[in-house]
Amino acid sequence: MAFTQRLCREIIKDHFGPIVERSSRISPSFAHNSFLQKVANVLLNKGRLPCGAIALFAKLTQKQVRECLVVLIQHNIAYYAEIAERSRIVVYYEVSEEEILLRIRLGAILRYSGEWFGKEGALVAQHILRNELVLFTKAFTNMVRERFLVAVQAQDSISAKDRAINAEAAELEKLLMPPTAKELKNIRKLRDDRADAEYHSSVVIGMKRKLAESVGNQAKRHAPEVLEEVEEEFYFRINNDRYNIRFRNEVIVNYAVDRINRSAGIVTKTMLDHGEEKMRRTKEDKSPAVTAVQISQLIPATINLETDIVLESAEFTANSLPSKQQLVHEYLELLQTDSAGFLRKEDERGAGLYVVAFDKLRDHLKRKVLDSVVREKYGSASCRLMKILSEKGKLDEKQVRAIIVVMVGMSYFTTIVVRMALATRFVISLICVQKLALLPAKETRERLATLGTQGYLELQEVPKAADRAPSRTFYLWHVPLNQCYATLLVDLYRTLGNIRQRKRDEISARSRLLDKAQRQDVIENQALLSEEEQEHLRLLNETIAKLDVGELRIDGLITILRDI
Amino acid sequence: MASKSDSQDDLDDPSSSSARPSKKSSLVVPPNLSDQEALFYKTAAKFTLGIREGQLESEIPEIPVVKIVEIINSLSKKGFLEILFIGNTKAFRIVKYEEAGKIASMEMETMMVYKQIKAAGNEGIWTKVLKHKTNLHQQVITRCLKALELKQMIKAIKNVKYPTRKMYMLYELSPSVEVTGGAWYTDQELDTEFIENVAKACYKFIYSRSFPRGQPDAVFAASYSGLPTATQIRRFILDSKISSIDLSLDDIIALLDVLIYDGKIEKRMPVFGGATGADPDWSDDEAVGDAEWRYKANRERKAGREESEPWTEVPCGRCPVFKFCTADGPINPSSCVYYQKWLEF
Ligand code: SF4
Repeated sequence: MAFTQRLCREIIKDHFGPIVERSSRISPSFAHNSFLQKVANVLLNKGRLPCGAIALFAKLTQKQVRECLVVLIQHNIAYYAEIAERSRIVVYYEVSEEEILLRIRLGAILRYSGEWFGKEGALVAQHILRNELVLFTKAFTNMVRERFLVAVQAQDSISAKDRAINAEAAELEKLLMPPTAKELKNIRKLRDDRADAEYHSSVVIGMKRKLAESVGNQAKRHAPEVLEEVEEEFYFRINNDRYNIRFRNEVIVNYAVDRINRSAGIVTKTMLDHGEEKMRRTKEDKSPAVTAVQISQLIPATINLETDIVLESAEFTANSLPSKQQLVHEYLELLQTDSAGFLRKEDERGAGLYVVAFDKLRDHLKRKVLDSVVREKYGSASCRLMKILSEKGKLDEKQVRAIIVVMVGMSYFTTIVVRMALATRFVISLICVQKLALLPAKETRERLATLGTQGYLELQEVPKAADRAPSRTFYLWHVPLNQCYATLLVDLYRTLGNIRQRKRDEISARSRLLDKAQRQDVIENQALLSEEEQEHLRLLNETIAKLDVGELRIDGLITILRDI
Repeated sequence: MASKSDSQDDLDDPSSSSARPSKKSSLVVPPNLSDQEALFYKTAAKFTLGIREGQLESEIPEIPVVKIVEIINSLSKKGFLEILFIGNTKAFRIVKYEEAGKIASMEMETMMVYKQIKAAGNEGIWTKVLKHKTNLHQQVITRCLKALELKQMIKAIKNVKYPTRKMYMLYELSPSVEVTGGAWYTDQELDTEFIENVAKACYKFIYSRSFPRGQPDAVFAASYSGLPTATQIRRFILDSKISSIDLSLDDIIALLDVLIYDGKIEKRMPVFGGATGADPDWSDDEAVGDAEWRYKANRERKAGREESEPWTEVPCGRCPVFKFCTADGPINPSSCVYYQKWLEF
């Protein structure tokens, strides 16, 4: 946890710290920024606090703290909660680590906004991120319509958990008697359903829309031809979920290109683009369904699918080329049979409906990241061992635990018998491991031990004798996949923290030079910089670029581990 | 006599299947047996694992069933026949004439030890198990083993699974694959270099059959039927003389499994009228009817993109002191030498 916090601090420092202050107009004064950092740090370290306590810890006045909190809430980093304590209501504040960590991706968000909505799009995103006034341009309208921007609502400043608790409390209020367990369950389910429905509704809040069927309270009805407009009384923020959906889709398309080929990528992309409008979260199990016919209609005629697939059936000879629909069908077949499980057939009747199997792909991609990290760091043999253990060694953990619990109540002799039974099974499996992996026993043991100390494997020791001597103990290995992913994610956060710190150091070490380079007269006349200074500047730029690339690629891994 | 001519066939034609009836190169029928006893002895000799009770009638139709019990009793009394229990049926195995003589001359304890070793077959037996089974004193066992070894009736072997265990088996047997580890072992040591070479060759072969030649981004359709099976891969390896040893199909499959674990290839269900799939629910044990698994290579990473792993590209990903590095501790990013080096241009 400490490392996530550290990265959070780094991000806040980066986004609200002196460097930002120098180059942008994000907030009025330098002092303000350092206050902001203090407040954020206090909240990061101590968790939820009321204003007074924050002031105490941050050694600021309550007024200063309140100002900072406003900024943090504006940026959607902080939440508040009103809690009744005896007769009065106390307001607690907290910062959300998740939201801060999402800010790693701001650079990517800016870049892609530019790519997807033109220069204007990038500008809009930039303005929104800085909490500045935005002109309602066309790009802006588009971004709202496609939900890359969403209207800020009052409840956004309350954490999701609090919202759930409040909703539940409101329901309970209506009851006369304390609820039964079943009633409580119903209420919770109702609450979750409602939240879900809200999330999945097709009404875009803050926009006068033509498509909405149900009557939203803010949106006015218009005939379809009427241009859509953004309602002016709303404030908007970046919708991270929406951006992440795009990022995820890109990851999947790239992977299809890597694994199969360019045309398979096109087919996948067509499917994802088609359903994108209906996607709300990255954690969905599958994409909206499409038929093969739809897909082949959606693929532009200019794209030639046939050059890179070799069909062997006799029907397709040189003079009767396969139709586009046939080709699409072939690619769907390929994507479906691929072991990464890109597609799934939803409906066996007729031509069939296809969906992109996010659930399966998610597991596959995560596993791939883990495998490649293990392979790079510990060698391919270790990666192989882990694969074997996680595939063949599934038996162990649960059964072992269960058996050990049972053993507590047994006589010593029975215990030994059970232990032996248990152990022989595993001894066989350990031998299996080394046999399956075609690795020498000694190497196998060493590699397993290394992976164990690095937290990629879990070890269960089953001593054969009461003295627990290592030579008379069976070692049962197990791959805790989810834990591996979590550890890896934290390691990546930690690395990002390191890179950012280093980057800040590199910049501040040459701050004088940078100051000079950014002076108006110097910008106009580069000759004012000495040759040496120019060389230094070039070096600095290269250094930063290298660090940025590293950061970006690691962020790609984080996307896969966290957001897909 | 039908049975006799059968055994004759076995002798003459070494290629004939000897799955059950084993070839006897020189079977000495003990003297002083009756004709029927001799016939029984010869017939039973064809079965290394012993002739089953149920097989008697069909294998030796010449002897009436009622007589058979008598013959069995007299043979086993003379020490030429052992009775084994396989599951809940009985089987009868002959004891070779020369052996019977040797055993008859042994002392009681040695015979016990010998019998246990013999029962272990080509798996060998661990001295500890031997002690447990015979209930003899360790010293006695050691003495017996020495005596037997001296007479060249048993030999010590090494088991790849348990290199530290002292194991014994009959002198004339050759250790089973379990014991030697199979083709991948040379002198009880895994021959990693050899394995790697064969694996590489397999991968290349599969790769060449998985993608159309000469078109860098092209693929075969899902209905493509040219993916190789393990048998075909084995043939290729044998034909190309990469290995001087005769690799069995199981050896090749073990190697292919390793390639699968390494993510280099994958196993595919054979094509059934277009509907195929690398369905994970198919477990390996379900030998999919007569159809064989086919193997497909995964595309190699494209050059230019993702040639290195993102995390290990930055120093922290391969840093030996990663766990000790903190923002302001003795090891920290600001003064980190690995970055220093990495950022040098
Ligand atoms: S900053 Fe340097 S010392 Fe710290 S983890 Fe990274 S490479 Fe290792």
